[in-house]
Amino acid sequence: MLNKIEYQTSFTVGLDRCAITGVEPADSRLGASTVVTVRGRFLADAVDVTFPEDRVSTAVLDAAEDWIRVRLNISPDSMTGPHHFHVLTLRGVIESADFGVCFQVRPLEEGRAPGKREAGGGLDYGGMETGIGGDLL
Amino acid sequence: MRAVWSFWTKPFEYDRGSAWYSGKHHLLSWILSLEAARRHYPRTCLITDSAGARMLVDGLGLEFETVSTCLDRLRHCHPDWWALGKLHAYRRQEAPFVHIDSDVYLWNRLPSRLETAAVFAQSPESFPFEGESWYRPGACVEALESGGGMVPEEWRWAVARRCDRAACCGIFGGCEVEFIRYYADLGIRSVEHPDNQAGWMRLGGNMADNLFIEQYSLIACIEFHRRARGRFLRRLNMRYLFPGPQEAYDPACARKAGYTHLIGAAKRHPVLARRLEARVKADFPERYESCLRYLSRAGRR
Repeated sequence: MLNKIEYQTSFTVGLDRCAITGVEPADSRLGASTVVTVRGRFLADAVDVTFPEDRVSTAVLDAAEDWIRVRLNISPDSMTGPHHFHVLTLRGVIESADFGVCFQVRPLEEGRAPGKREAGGGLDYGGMETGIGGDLL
Repeated sequence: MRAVWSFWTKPFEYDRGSAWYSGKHHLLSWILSLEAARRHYPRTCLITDSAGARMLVDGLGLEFETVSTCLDRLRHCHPDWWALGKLHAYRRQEAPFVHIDSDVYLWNRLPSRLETAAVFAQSPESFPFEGESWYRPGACVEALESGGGMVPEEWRWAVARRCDRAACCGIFGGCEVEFIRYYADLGIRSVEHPDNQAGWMRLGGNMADNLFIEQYSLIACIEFHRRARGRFLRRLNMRYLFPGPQEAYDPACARKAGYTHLIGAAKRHPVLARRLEARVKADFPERYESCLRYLSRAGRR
């Protein structure tokens, strides 16, 4: 019976009970493309994660009650420093700033040119001669 | 979930056939793609034209549950637009489906997180917005606009935000077929619209603009409609088999997913070609023989 009540409650929970408790890893560098996990509560219906500063773009990969897996593409001309972000759920928008959570964008590593992509992160179909999973044939 | 393949023969005969190590390997790939996926998805469908049906069904003996030759209507379209065949297949779907490229082999059933998703694709990818890339969304929108063409608001919006992402569609599908039909229709109309022909001409021939129409437009549509909070908002969760290109090209990740995609130049790789032939010969000997018979007959004609 207890399980049933909890189950039903999870469907009727209001936006005020949703929370963002952290992001792992909490930082990356300019120009990076990386997957992070946003931790929190009642996140299963998250449809998008956005950064108000447009130079960090996102793609939600998967979501569960207490986490969202998101790919971040950080433009080489993004602002460095702490970035707050928003989680768009079917019930409304949760702002990481309300929970003191931010994501840090760090400067380029020394000697690394702006705009250079991570290995394998760009698009070069012509060079991908071995395909995907070729050893399974 | 229904498994769908598409084959528009005009681009294949025009140029794309050269993407393969040989014509035989192209046919062997069709055998393996269908037979591997059919173990998990017995409901199968081929969207093609009359010549494609003669080749794959009559000639090769492939057994799809349903076959449509609706791509005959593309006979007047330029073969550079090879993505049109795929987009027409997407637009015809009325129930959850997975479209499988004929160079993709599903050794495993897709995970349920994909089968239940509104929309799913193989993997997300990103590109330098203004640098060297197959994608040139800014140039496409600018060329169409300057020619007074029809430019979807989703494309304008994405380019204004310098959206540098797309979805690799070796597999593509989902449960939200109303949205998928909308997105596919947008791409088809943008290619075929009379007011856009001057703009496409101005851009010059670029087969890779198919990736813009299919793979970039998909992300533009999803992200635009998530934010527009209109009729699609509540349903647009997007899932990927791989979280990114790095993982897709990681043999361990591909093995775990049970997924092979002979993307790009992999179709011409001699070692992979030998493996493909050996695999079909060992696992589907009757199909392999029917392929050889078909090639022999075609050679005599």
